[in-house]
Amino acid sequence: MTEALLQARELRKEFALHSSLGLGGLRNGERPAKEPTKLAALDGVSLDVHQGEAVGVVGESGCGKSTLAKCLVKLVEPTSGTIRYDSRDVAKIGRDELKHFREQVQIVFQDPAASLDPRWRVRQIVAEPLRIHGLVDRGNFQGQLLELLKIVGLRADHLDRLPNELSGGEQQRVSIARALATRPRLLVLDEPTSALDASTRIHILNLLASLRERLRITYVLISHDLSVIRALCDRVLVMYLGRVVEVGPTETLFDLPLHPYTEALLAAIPVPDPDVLKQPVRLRGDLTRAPAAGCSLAPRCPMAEQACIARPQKLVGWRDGRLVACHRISEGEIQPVPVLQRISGSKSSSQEAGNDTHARILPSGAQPIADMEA
Amino acid sequence: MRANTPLLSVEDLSVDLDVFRGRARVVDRVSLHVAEGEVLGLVGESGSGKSMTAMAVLRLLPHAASVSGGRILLDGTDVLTLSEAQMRRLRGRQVAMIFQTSLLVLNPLLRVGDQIARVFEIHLGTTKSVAHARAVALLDRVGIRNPERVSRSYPHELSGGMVQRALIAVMMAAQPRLLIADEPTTGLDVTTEVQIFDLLSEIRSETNVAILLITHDLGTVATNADRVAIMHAGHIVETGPTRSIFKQPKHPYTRALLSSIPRFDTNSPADSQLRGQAPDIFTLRADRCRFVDRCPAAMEICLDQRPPWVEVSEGHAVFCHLFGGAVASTGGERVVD
Repeated sequence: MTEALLQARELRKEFALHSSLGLGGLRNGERPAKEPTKLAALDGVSLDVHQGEAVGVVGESGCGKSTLAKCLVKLVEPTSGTIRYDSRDVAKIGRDELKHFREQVQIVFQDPAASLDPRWRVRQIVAEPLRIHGLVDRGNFQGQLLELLKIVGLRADHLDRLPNELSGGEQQRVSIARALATRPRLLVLDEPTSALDASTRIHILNLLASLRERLRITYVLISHDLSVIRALCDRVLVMYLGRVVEVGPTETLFDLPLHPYTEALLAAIPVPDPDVLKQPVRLRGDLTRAPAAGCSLAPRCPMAEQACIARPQKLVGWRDGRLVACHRISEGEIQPVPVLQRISGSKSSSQEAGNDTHARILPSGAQPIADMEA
Repeated sequence: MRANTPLLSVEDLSVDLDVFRGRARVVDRVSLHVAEGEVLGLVGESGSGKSMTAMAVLRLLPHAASVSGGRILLDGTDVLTLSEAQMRRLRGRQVAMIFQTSLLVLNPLLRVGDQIARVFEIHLGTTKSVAHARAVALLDRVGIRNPERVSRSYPHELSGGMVQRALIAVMMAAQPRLLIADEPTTGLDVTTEVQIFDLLSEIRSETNVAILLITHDLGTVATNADRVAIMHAGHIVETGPTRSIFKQPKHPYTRALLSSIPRFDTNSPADSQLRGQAPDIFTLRADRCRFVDRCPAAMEICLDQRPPWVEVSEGHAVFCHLFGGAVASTGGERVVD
């Protein structure tokens, strides 16, 4: 296979913590250390994104997924590790080359209201990248702008509005139009639907899916919402506390998770269907920093053993090609089980809601847990 | 089956909101009931009136809002007729509430343990030392590791999940019979959210407390509620057993809502049938369906007649002209699916 469009290796990003505040704060009577405590938001993350692919990064708050997004688009410099875009080292990109990089790699942020200038009209917002990158078509500037709005499903009368005159969904469409203005090859989407309400979210999801098809853009999509990942991504990375714990094709990974964290994550998300039963996989307690040497999940993992605290977990290939960072895999103990199961015999004949008639993905021979409802 | 009278019974409750824009009926003749030990999920988009309904039960409506009709029976007593002193005895003791913004509920200047102990002192008249011991036991009970240390912590020192656990401990201290949980896990990570719901269901099976679960998340309701009431623009539009609502949704709004949720457990893309946005509550007329402008099946009658309540199966009722009632009696087409 040819080299990936974007290639990140062993990314590490440390932030200095204020010694008296936040994580690792002082206990009573403790004196501040001379060296500020470091927090590794990214702790050895590697990632390949191939041309035309959509890669999802999923994890809960504090797992480092937004830091990863910012490193990938060169808004944050990693402490160590390398990122290569189109065979060039991103860290070595100089001033003149940066402009070219920005033209090709764009980002859409989570909160559209906060990422649009409140005093600029849509026209100015969308035109800015065109001006900066010298892409303005002098003869047909208006047409150029309208074309961009049309791509994201907005109309000509949106051009002269201010962000506060737009709904949340429309604001996010403007953000997407702005990102698309330079015709990027790679689009990094950081929680693009999280700030939107349910009925708007689905429209933005559909827009992103159709854009990918029409414009053949490569996506890196950061989200805590697995349904967004499932709808858009071919492959998914699961992150926990700055490390990647599992990588694989979206469907396989969701249907038969291997890592205990992936399992717990899938088991935790409420499914709007009372007939889907889940394995009761639970993490213990809250997010805690792990002992430096061991697996980061160890303090919360329901299957943790002595070995998990003692040594770090490396990503290891499983037999279907997935990568998993769990010591049970090297021990050959993993027997993946579907987290979600559908109660058999519950499929009512004609009474089902129209959208519920598709078959659910169940591995053959899976035994539904029929008596759990009682 | 729980056959006797419900613990909470809201009958034809209306709440009006008076603001500079005018007067709006944000809760319009809403009826619901919660039986002893039952979990009722009250679902709706923001602004649909679900929190207003809950606040009316506790008589904690904001100043601009007032109850303009109906009854709220808690164990047979109409809470709307009680004096403020009687209400204070009822809150905490009979009905407790947990909020989304639990960090704002706890006093930032008091240690967590002392705040829980206060509930015992006020409602049960226990001494300080006994109250403190019971507070620590309760923190332990809600799954907080190292409860003695946490009881001496201030709220800002705890994580979101721990604060919510502590809050649940506070609320359960006086063993209320009804717990109103308003978006109790919004803002928490999903792996923490599921722990909180595990805890609530344990507490429920131990104490038989009834729970009114208010949320916008249909997934949460499918997993945790016995019955569901769907709210839209101040009306309850459909109510029934959870399974029945999810498997045989009748109201066009419920159907649209269910169709617009993207799912991570299936490959089928969601397809939103939900058009437009929730109506501006200040412009709504009294006697018509409030969903009519967004409804794919709207009829003439929907514009000028209040929909009837039609029972479509046992315990499952829908507030819509499509299912008979006035339509059938005037010879209109009766749609049964």
